[in-house]
Amino acid sequence: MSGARANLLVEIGTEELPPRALQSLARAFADELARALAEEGMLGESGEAAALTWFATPRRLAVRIKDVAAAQPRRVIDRRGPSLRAAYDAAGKPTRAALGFAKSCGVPMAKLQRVETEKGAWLVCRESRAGKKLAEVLSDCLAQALRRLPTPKRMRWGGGEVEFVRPAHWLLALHGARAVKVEALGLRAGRHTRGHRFHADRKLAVPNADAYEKLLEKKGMVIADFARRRAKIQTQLAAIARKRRARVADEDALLDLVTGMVEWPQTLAGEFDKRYLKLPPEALASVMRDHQKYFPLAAANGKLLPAFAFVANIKSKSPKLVRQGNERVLRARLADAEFFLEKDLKIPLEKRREELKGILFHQKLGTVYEKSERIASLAGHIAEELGADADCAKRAAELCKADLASEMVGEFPELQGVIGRYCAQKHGETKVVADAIEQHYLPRHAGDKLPRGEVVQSVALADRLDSLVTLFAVGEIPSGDKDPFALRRAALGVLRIIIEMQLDVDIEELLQFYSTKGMVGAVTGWSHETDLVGKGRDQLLDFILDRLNAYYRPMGYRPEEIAAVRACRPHKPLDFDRRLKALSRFFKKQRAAAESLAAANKRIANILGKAGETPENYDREKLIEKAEIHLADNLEQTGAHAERCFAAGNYDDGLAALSKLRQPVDAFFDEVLVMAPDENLRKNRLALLRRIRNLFLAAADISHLRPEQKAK
Amino acid sequence: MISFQQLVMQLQAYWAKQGCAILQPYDMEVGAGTFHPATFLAAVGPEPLRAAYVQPSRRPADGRYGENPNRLQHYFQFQVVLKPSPDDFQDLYLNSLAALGLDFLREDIRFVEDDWESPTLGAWGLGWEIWVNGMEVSQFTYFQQAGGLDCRPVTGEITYGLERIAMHLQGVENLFDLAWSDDGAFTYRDLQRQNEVEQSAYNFEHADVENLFAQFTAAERGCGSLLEAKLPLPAYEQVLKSSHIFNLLDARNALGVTERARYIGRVRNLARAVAQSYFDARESLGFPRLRREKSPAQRRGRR
Repeated sequence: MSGARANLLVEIGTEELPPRALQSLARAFADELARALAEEGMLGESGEAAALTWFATPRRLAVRIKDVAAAQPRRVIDRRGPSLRAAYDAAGKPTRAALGFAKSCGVPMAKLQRVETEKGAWLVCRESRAGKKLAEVLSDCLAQALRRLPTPKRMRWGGGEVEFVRPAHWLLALHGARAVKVEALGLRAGRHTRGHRFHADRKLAVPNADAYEKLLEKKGMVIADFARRRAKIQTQLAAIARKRRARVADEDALLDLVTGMVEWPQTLAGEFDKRYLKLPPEALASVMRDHQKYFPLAAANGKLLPAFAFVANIKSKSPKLVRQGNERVLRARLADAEFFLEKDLKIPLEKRREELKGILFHQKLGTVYEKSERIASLAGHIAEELGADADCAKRAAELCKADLASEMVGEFPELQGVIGRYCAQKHGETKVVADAIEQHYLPRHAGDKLPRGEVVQSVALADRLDSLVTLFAVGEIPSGDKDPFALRRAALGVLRIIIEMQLDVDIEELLQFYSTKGMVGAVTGWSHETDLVGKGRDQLLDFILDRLNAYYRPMGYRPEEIAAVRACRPHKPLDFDRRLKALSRFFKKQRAAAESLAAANKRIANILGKAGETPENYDREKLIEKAEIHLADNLEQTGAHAERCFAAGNYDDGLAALSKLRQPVDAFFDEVLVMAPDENLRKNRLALLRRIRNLFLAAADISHLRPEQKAK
Repeated sequence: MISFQQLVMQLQAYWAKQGCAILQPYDMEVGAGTFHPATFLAAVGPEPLRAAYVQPSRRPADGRYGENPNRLQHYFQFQVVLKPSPDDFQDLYLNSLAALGLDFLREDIRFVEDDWESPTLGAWGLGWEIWVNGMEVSQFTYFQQAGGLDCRPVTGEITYGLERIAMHLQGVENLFDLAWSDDGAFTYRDLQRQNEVEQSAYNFEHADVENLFAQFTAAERGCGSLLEAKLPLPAYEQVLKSSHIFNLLDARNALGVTERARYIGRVRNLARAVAQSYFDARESLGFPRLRREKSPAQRRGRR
């Protein structure tokens, strides 16, 4: 019925795609296309995941999907006419309504059929309609798949409005051996692919879908399969390493990237003068790996060798020329680095630091030197709080920005901190200070490692908090997608350090210390100190706590859970963490009780919200109904226990204790009228509810977690 | 061997054949060929253009007193703009390298992802650096936005680093050894080195920071009043000034990370306003290049 099944191959030929995104693009393209075809009934009945093969090179994304139908199956469509009662008269003759229906369907009466259901019987016109042809279906499916690609940035080119990752130049669509007439990205599909840009720059006719990658490899000098190309590079790397009795240092970091940059990999080796091995390994790695995409080679013992491997995209007639060119580029970069580092190491950081006086941090906030003074003061305070060596933290903080004035950091900005450490070591600073100078930049990005040791952590926190406090104070507050000073990242860094390194730090207290100490106000010509007392400080604390959502969501915590804890505004991130985790466990383990209590909390919050002023304490003696007395009794026992648990940071046991209130609370609401006409009774009951509410708020506002109302 | 001046002449000849108007450098200090009005402003609006030109460019922070074999604070870019970007844009570029004598089966030529963004111009595009045996010799960009305005049609930009390509073609390791004239009688050193030494001293030691701050503010103010007078081209020159002054301040290390971001923002605001003003001015003229461009096509249509 649905025509012969055959394998379907689709290829999009493009200009060089971003190598980092290549794999995910190709996978997504394959998956989305298969999914779209499956939804259209083109992939057989089994419903199992489509068998597909994806291909990806810098100049193409392709997918082959197994056993795709040539057309959708035939479909039977019933068009309903009048009911049988209305269709025939008493004599059994067709009525005008029936005849009219037949006419409108363009068939004689005899062709109409009868359908009987529970709801009645009708005349129908039954048609068996052919399904859409592959070309038609594929056109829609392609458009959908392309729309859904996870592209970081799309672009336009020429005068057109088509958007894609990079300009697209050809489209290939084969169903078995047959070309499928389809259009996408403004291109008409054919059976042609193209070979390697330099080795086989011509159209290649693909005889059938299964011949694709073999043809490309043989005639096109293109290895279309990503994994195969990757493996080939690995083999070539291993051969080079073996020859030199070396190993490739940290191959994984580069392998995917380089695989995404070539169609016909040819791995070569190059060398550099061994005197450059005296450069810091970080600098060598940065030059080789980050800038040039070279694989550094190391001896068996892990020490770097003055050699590297790199992957060319052609089988050159003169590999020597290619090697020499690459060696020359590397030599120039390393010579630069050597020259700068030599100059930098001669100058102690203390002296370098003086140069910070000429570097503005922010027009209203003075120089980077002044910032380093502030960091030092705050870092000392934090170190004291953490029971660490405050003088050490101060010293590290004073010096931590000095390398920004160095030549090396001017040239290789990614080495900030690293160069500071080398200078510090060279001029006799302690190891702790040297490490702190380097690591106070951690974490540099999401997923980065965190600074170890309280001294480093003090400096790392102080640096970020100083930026947050001072920039907020002068009104540089992020909004929308505008965050030019990366304050969101700074705030997230603060939270990660505190939570993941388990530091007992109170952010509110630090902000207070900062504004009363007068450090911020000491900045030349700036008197915003008062802005940070009260409202301004609250705004900043909220800004910092708001980052917790972005922090916890990827870990699987529900937004309502985060909001429930957030509502209590704990000043200590570690405390926040404990509450959230306990709450999440509570809702997993005792779901029914938790949800019932959440609903009760919501109800209580509503009642209290409407009731206005409520006394703080209820009077046990004035409770009269059984259910409220019962509730109060429970409250006294579990309440005191829960409060002790909460105060000790043991939220699991505290919440478990409170779960015992479920039954008494439910009974209370069932049997007691809170808004009693008698004012004294009413106020006393409201006070009882307030007590419950406050108990829960010591952990979280679980009213945020009330069970979902059923969607309509 | 191809001399530095031959390189320029061959590129001009090649791109002239592709229908480019061969323009002259803009006569102000700029950081790159992109700042020439024929690139940045011409990228705004619907009017087509094909142009190529050399642009002497200054990056004060890159000065090395003529001591570094690879680094200059004043160097030469060869800039090509094709608007709209043609379908065979990459091939046109590769053919220009072939015209210079590069053999694609000997040299490893690569398009390496390098998305371009000019925070000072409020411009961005997607494209590549072009590597020849690991050395970056050109940048290749499809403009998506200029001065905060969407580029419709898209301008394709190629920037050749002339010194880099010449070093490759001549096989020298020190750019000052480049033969400038055809017989090699004049080298890059003969003609440029003293300038590098003196300008580096100016950029790093003598540029008067306080005065530069004042100049920046003056340029910013000047740009504003010229925009009010609806004079986008003179206003744009104030943007160029402010951008160069910013680069000098940067070379003097007078701006920390945060303050740097703020100054970039100030230049960007000017560039955006100028781009919009230029668009309005061209629109009020009826986009003259658009009309002219249409006429040959219409003639063909009538046939």
